[in-house]
Amino acid sequence: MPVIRIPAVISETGGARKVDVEGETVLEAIRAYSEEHGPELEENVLGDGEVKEYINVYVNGKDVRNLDGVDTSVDDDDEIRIIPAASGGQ
Amino acid sequence: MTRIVFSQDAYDEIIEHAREGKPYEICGVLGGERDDDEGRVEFTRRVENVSETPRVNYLMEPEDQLEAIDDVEERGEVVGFYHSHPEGPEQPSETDEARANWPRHSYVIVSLGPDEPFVGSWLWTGEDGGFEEEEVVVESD
Repeated sequence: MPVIRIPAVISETGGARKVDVEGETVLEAIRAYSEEHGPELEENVLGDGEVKEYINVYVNGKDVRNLDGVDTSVDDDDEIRIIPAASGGQ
Repeated sequence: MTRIVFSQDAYDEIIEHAREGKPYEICGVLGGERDDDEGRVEFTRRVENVSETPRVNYLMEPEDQLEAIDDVEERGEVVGFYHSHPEGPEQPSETDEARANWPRHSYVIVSLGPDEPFVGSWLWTGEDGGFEEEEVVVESD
């Protein structure tokens, strides 16, 4: 099964998580995580079926925006990482 | 008020980075240790700014940001993030506040106005509490 890793700042528990999930795409994996652990992750990460603007999702360190977005396929042992983007300005 | 304590090297590095990057905003990750009252910045990691308007905004290149966080976590904790305001102001902008999304992390601004560089730090407490200014301390070697 793929693995989802999320840092404490967006975890529903307030601690970093590394969890095995079912799913053949990033979208399926995030939904599977949320079904088991509560809706926070899906609400924080997805909007209108896409990754929200200031959230980054990676498969094996690659930004899914450069792959197939939430439809990026994942295999056993692939690692999905999610972190808030750091951005701002004057 | 919480405080953020920089090693002299880390403090000098973020100012040097800001000066090198002028007139564009630069950004990076602050590494060290953090507890409830204090962050200690012992090292930094530069991250590429890929904003389409880099004179007035920063957006960390996503894969570089992840690598930077992993690099920092091999040596310590992510204390927060820094970026520059090449022409000021010294305080976080509305954009900084609107896009802050790492609760319990410091957002450091290196402001290069007409005078000496100014380094300020604000702890992001979350959407309810917003930014809280931190005391900035530089520890001599």
